[in-house]
Amino acid sequence: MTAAIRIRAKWAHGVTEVMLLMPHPMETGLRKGTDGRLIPAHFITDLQVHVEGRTVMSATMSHAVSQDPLIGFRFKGGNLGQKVTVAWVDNTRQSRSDSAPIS
Amino acid sequence: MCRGGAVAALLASGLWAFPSARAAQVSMQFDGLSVEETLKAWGGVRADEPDIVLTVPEVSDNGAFVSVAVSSFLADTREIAIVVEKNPDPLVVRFLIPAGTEPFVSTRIKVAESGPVYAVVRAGGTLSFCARNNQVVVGGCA
Repeated sequence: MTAAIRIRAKWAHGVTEVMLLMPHPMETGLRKGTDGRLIPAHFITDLQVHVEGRTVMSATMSHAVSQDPLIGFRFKGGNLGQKVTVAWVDNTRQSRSDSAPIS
Repeated sequence: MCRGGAVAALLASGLWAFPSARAAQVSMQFDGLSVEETLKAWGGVRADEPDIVLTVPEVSDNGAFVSVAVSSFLADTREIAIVVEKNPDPLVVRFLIPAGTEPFVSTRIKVAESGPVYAVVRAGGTLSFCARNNQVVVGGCA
């Protein structure tokens, strides 16, 4: 039901720069809906990024990360065409994984 | 994951636990103490410029999307966390930096009201932090 994670991984001078955009409501559980009732919390709690079996980034997140989390980082190595796999799990146990090649 | 509670347990676990259930968040670890006092109680030291570079806008129009970037120049950086003092749950996100990944992260966070934003770095077994003030025009309902 969730939209695909958008992954941009660019290699330059031995370093791969990764930018991820994970469509997700990131509801805090503190906000009221139009009916005046609290909207239940719904947010990504865990993020893992792998390249060819190697973990290049992992994160634990709270609901205070903005809606549609955008995360940028860089790792040494990586080769053109290698697959970057991103997986998240949220607090309702939903999960999603997507991958894209390094370009 | 999902270990709320005692500071002793947090110290034992290296940095601190991360609450993922709403119930756990209510008793966040910074209770009664400011973020800075808590970090110091955990053995944290204030980092000198430019060992940790925290980039936060001085003024944010919209607290729901505040761009934050952290670079660490401390050797053997293993973990980077972002903590917002005035948020209902101060610990926003915690990144684990494996060997081979550069000690740099950028993201967007929610900030409830104006106040300090902290970057906390665990490097070579030491906890270091730095802070920047951020003014929010419209709170991010964090």
